[in-house]
Amino acid sequence: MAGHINEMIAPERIVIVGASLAGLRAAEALRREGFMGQLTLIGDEPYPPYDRPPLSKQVLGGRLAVEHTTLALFQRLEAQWLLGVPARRLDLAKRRVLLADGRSVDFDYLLIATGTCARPWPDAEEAALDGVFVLRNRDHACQVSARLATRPRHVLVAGGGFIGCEAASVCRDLGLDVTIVERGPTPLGGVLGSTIGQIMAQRQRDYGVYLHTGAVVTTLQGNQDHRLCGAQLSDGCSLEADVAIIALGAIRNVEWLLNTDLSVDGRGIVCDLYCRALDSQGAVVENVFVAGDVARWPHPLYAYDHQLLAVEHWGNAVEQAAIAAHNMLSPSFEYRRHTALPRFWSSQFGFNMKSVGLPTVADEVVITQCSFGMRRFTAVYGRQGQTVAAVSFNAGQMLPSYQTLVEQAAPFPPDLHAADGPARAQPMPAGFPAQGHPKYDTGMEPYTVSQP
Amino acid sequence: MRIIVDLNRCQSFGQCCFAAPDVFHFHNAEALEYDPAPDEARRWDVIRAAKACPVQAIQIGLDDEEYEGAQREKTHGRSYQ
Amino acid sequence: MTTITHENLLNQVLDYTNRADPYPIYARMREHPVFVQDDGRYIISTYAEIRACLQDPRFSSDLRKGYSQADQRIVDEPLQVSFITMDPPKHDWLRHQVMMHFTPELINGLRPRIEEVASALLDAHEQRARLDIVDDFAYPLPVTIICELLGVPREDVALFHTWVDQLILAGDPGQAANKEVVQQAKSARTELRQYMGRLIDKFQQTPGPGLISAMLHDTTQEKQMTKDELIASSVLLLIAGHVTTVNLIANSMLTLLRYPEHYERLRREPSIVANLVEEVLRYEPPVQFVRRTTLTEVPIAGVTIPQGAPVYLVLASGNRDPLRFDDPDRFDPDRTDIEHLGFGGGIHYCVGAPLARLETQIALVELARRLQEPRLVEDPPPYRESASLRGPLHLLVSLHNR
Repeated sequence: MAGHINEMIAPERIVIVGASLAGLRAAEALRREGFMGQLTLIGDEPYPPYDRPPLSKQVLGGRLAVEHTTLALFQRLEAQWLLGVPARRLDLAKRRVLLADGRSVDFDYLLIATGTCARPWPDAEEAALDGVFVLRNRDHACQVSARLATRPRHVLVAGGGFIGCEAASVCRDLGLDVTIVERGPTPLGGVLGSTIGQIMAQRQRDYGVYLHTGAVVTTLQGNQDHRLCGAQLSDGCSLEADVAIIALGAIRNVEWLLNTDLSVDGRGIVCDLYCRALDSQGAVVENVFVAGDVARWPHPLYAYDHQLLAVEHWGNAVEQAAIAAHNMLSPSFEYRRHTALPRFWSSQFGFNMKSVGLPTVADEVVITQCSFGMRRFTAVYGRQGQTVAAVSFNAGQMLPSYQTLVEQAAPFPPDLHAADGPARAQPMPAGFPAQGHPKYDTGMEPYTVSQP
Repeated sequence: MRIIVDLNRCQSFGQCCFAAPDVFHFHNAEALEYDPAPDEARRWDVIRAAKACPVQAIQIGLDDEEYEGAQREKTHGRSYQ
Repeated sequence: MTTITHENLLNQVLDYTNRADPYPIYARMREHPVFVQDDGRYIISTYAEIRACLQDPRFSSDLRKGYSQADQRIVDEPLQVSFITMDPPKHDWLRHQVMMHFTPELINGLRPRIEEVASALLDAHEQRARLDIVDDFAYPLPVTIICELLGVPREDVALFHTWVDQLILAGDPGQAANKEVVQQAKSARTELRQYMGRLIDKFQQTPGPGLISAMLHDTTQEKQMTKDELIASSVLLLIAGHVTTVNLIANSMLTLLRYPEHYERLRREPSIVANLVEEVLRYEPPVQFVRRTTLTEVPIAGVTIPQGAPVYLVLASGNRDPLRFDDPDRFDPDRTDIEHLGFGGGIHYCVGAPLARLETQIALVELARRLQEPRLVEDPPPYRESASLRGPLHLLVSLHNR
């Protein structure tokens, strides 16, 4: 197993900053590929690595105890775990991570997998009102779940991206009144485009959600007990609410890196196709790798005009972590490239939504199959006549064949003649915001413009 | 015991729901929900579920020895914000 | 660029003389993942390509949409409105109507009964020196269970044996020209349909136990199944619950008898049965190939399949594809990477798979527990006619006498 580690570069000490999914899977991959040296995992939360997707679904809904989300392990790690202590600074020259408690940890190789945190409500006083929550980590999920169990009168969800919509769906499962306020013309517009977003909007309305699109929450209002009691919206509406879930997206955890020479800003850390971190000149930073939500890299299928890809996908954390770990231990001629197709899933409002590829680069979308009166359908996205993504709604068994179309960048619209397809393909504009346009503040920024 | 289901791989065939109904079920039509930490008493059912999955999306993890060894740093009142 | 092969490998598969071991023919098929025979049939025999086709919306299970005349004749009767030969959207709806009732609670609730019947069947033959695993066990067990599941009265079970056998025989592509077989199947189909119709009428009057009555009296749906759809779905479940499960149990036992070390291991460690059954589903699947047609031209593996072509997906061949499985011709109950095609794939994935697994797992554990050192009397055993629903007709074993 250790055979293929080049003796000349065999590291003795590997440090992983970030003890969530990407950090854990990287650690496992390192051990699996024969790394025998000292392995340290640093995590800012005081919990062993846990799985986030259930937090906005069955944990929020009270169907799963949060302790159960601790991630299953597939490899003995014999690692040093420093949990509950964030990294404060990185000293690249000394190859040292400085922790918030003053300790420092030296490394031969570093993996940065610090992920993201929830964008807080911008007004600190309003954010501190009782009843205002973000939803990113397990503590949040517990708090919100407990609050929802008290049957609030009205829940306000600020932001119609994935987390916001999933949370609203849980509210409707629980029979709670809920309003979604979304900046764009439709919910999920930033990830699915407004054309499919319209279908989502209708679905939400069918499920009894109050939907305000084209608006943002401007003020959260509290009563004299500092409890949330309502909100003002930018469209002039005001509404009563005793719980607010702030789902305005995620911020990359890069504060601790801003004083380094890494190519890093609020959008994440730039790395190459081998997960190696790059510096501000675009040169490879030796011995520093990146994986997970915090990474930005040039995906070969989506590097139009030198754009970089950043995603907040579970699958990416797992795949990129394994690539980074492998490459850490390999001579460069054995490097693997991180070219896996982006994939994600979401479960909301009776839809099991699964996607392959990157819808956000598309200019057109076409529905290729539908049955059950649109309770099951598949949408394919195209850019300049090439297939770039497909999203299935309760049609997971169909998606693999669409994956092939995406991998091949097959002609768009695809010529499928599916039995449950339309007589003639009717491509529609996909409805994503134009490049350069201010991005939706839904937190999903999977497609960003790279700055020189 | 701890398990993980790769929900990207999952295509909602539901074979796991039959093999281990206390652990796997569909929430609304096709969204698989599962208990990632099923009771040890369910191990046999979970193994059957993993074998029955047509896309091998279910993996059974090791015991928690690693996590029990994980050191938790106490902060004793210090804030890191 | 289409590869025409003059050797009609499918006919060799259909030829009864090859029934006991079609696998070398499958290996020759795999030399070209997709090829067309001189009779115009398209054969797909490799794992990756079969898997892709099972999930590809350009492939249809409704053979009426194809240009093959032979395919048209099978499907011109009301009975054929079962969802196995349908496409979405109708397929999805009808399958859902049935699956709604085919729940984990229902299937798992059968466990005690399956154990009871399995045990009783072996009790009945306890003192014997010889047993026909098929007639004495592998056939009666699933038949009893599916009839109970559906709500068919016990006393009528024997009626189906002949009808079902005749239907299966006629469905075999090798029998298409046999007028007598075709005629018998027609009357079997009619009798079966009429029987089901009468049963449904009875349940309509007085609700009874079982799935048929439950589907009939389900008023929660926006749209109800028609009587023909209910008949067809019930017949589908009946036949599938019969033939294929019988073959799975028999194929499993045959394989174990050929590898007595694995049989002994099953006796000692019943917990290996789950993986063992999956390996049998790979190694000796009860359904060897399935049919499709194409809704449009499909380029695949260097061959362009025209729209409406008759396509054969040879599942049993894909299961032995060395590009997918290490040492594929080795039966290995400890094999870990078993993503077999034994239950198909895609939207038509076998509805009865959970029941088949449950029955087969219980059956094999009980057989291994009760039968000491069984020996195959004849290898290969005599096989059923059908090349697609392939399994032993009889499986005689001699037993260690107490």
